[in-house]
Amino acid sequence: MHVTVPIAYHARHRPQPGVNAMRRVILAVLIATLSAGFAVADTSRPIIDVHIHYSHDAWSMLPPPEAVKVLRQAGLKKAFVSSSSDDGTQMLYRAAPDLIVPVLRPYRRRGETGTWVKDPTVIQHVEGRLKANTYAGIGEFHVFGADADLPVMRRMVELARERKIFLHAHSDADAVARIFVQDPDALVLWAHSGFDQADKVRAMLAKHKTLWADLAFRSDHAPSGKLRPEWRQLFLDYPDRFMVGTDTFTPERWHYVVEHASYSRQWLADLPTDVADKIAFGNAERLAAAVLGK
Amino acid sequence: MPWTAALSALAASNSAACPGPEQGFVRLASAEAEIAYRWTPDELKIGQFFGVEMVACRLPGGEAVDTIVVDAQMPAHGHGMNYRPRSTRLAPDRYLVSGLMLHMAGHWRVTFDLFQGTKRTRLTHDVTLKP
Amino acid sequence: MKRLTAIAACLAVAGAAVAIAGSQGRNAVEPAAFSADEREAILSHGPWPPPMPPDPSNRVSGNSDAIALGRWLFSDKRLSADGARSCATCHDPAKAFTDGRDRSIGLVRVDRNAIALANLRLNRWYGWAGAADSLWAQSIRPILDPKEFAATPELVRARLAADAAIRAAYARVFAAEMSRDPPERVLVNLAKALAAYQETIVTARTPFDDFRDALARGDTATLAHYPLAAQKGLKIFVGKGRCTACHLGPNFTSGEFEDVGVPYFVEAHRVDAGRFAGIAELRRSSFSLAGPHNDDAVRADAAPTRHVEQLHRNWGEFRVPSLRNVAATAPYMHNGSLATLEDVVRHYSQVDEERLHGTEGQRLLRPLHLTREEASDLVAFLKTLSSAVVSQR
Ligand code: HEC
Ligand code: HEC
Ligand SMILES: [Cu+2]
Ligand SMILES: [Zn+2]
Repeated sequence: MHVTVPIAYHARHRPQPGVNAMRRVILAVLIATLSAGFAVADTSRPIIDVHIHYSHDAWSMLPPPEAVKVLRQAGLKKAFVSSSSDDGTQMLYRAAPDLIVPVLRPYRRRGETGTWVKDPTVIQHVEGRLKANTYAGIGEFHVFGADADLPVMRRMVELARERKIFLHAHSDADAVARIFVQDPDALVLWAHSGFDQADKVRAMLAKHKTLWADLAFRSDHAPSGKLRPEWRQLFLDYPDRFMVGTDTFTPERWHYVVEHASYSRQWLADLPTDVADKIAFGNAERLAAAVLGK
Repeated sequence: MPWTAALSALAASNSAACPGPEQGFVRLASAEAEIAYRWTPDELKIGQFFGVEMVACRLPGGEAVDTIVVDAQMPAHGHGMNYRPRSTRLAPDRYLVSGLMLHMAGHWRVTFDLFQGTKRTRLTHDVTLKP
Repeated sequence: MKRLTAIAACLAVAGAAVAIAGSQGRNAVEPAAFSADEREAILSHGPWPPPMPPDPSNRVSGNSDAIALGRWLFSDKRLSADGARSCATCHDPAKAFTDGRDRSIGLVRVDRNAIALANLRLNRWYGWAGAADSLWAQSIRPILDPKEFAATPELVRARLAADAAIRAAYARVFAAEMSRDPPERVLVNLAKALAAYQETIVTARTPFDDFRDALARGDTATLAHYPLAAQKGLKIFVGKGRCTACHLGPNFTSGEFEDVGVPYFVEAHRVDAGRFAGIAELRRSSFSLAGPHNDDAVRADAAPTRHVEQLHRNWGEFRVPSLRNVAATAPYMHNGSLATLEDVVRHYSQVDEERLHGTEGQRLLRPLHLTREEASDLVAFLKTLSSAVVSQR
């Protein structure tokens, strides 16, 4: 009862032949009913989750083999992993190199979210790691507004350019724009799409051709698993630019990865198959392949 | 003359008669748009469900509004509501939204997003709830 | 019923007066020591008791025959499949309607701490995760839960309809023949009687309530009876502790769900998903206020159920518990993981910010770094929220 009302409403307002609309309603209700239950892992559509953290407090609760199992159970094709500290990412990568796409988080421990960008020792740490290991990107880091022009952040942009890898930025639109001023060809994965509204995200994507956006930790684009019309249009207009992710910021949240994948599959089903596949895994797969040179 | 009043109200807006304080409505305007709204019940209290009746008085371009989304956030706390309001269209450019609930004291930002296709116009109104 | 409340209130006042006789006196804080904002916040935690009108979704709410039947059922072990436990096993009237354990034990150990039953008409949601939207629906959950009573509607009807006294009480309350009503209706009706009884469990006035009312009246003589440590703790509670943001109003709760950084693993590979699971269960349930068993034709109280939205942050959120009578309901938190009020205050004093997703989630909680004295003042305040639990009838 809860879910049928808005679905029926949408169906009525979409310019489509009646039968088709009806079929969609039935399908949507079915999917909604299924996913309202617990962990009914319909793993039919592969997913690449681009927003996984494996930080130190997760290591004991969820040792690498267990963590890998959780990701596979969710039907993930790959996972972009960044951790405080990066040792977590390395452990996971060694446990499942086919599954893990390593991304270098500049934080050596938790608690550096607000201080790292003013701490010059971060540069040395990141440079050392980049030399020692393979990474698809630098991030996820938090930087807002004018802080994106501070020396530490400028160095991150340079390092990413030198190595042709991406920056996973948890940032407002202003900071993202500043990164592109520093390097107009920077590859930027915009975490949480900046928690911005669809029209703001649209403007950013239109302006910056090498900007991708993840939808981690937001459901305003698809409340109760049902796409909002303005987001649907945005996905149709920019099918190559979106990705999905869970954001496992506590060890307990690892157990949400499965649930999150079902949620993603639910709203993705409301898009044409090719668009849904791109957002589910295609875009992430291509970005990873491009930066890792495969 | 009531009908002259109605006529001039109509003339003042390009899409709908814009109700005013006589009917308990508050006007909210930006450079782009203007709405009139009233809460139901008219006094907001912590933890109490309420609705809002909203009339779009002036909009960019000529088209009518096809949906509105009303939401509320606590900017200082970084969270929104736990409930999703639903809107019902009462007449062209006139909506009734139900299911809002503000669960903490303090400063809330209520947003009215008016959609004309994918074009969104936002008006915001700040509410401070007493403990 | 009114008289009983009054007696309880007097008892509470007398008890409080005795308790603080040694500690009060010259050093009591004058009311002027509270700013206008603090005063406003303090007053918002009363008056007590607030109105508790009958539940429109339960047609026997407030009905004295239903209350008597419910009181009987509450300690009736025939509701459990193996006949080994009743509601009172985990909600013991002698222990403020809780069981004193960290996590309760039914047929097996369950995942959560038994909530102290009191002032239940004030809830919007029931259980730590709000899986039920009414008191009667919540009362059905332990009966059917395989870890608690593991019963079925058929079993409950067969067992209880065999008892002539219960059959007669059922007929009186519901104007129906128990053995002819369909099992599901019998279950719902019995749960409504259980609810009618539980609604009568209320907490009496506390030393805090007397202080609060004296503050409202400007009665300085009475104000001085409230211990200085509690006054200082109260100042922290409504001030820099920001406790009032969530523990608000006369019942010290918003009735909503938050993540305050309490770990929620149940065991190595299993978590308690909290509010996220609660919403999923609510949507699956045929006993919600949106379903056919709601006795209110206009479903006035169903707005929360209709509008509640499942969000990513609901994973690991738990209901903000009332703090009335909190000194009597240890251990604390959804899993009973904190043994004492001192432990709870230490938790807030040292809360792990990283767990709270500060940048896009909870910005309310920050480690308070309270001094030893501040922590003990805060505990002293929490202890003034206690009183005898009274069943009004
Ligand atoms: C095995 C121990 C156990 C038994 C037996 C038990 N309960 Fe509970 N009770 C609990 C626990 C644990 C919770 C918290 C449940 C949750 O969070 O979902 C609870 C919660 C509740 C609540 C919610 C209170 C609130 O403020 O939200 C009510 C009401 C309740 N129980 C009533 C009953 C009734 C009525 C019975 C008998 C039919 C009963 N309980 C039997 C352990 C028990
Ligand atoms: C962000 C909302 C929030 C704030 C602020 C908050 N609390 Fe809580 N409180 C909760 C929640 C939620 C729980 C239950 C957590 C759980 O079970 O995991 C809780 C539990 C408690 C408990 C345990 C009660 C019981 O019966 O188990 C006490 C005591 C308490 N809080 C006191 C305080 C004090 C004192 C402060 C201020 C320092 C405070 N709270 C601030 C939300 C909050
Ligand atoms: Cu808030
Ligand atoms: Zn992030």
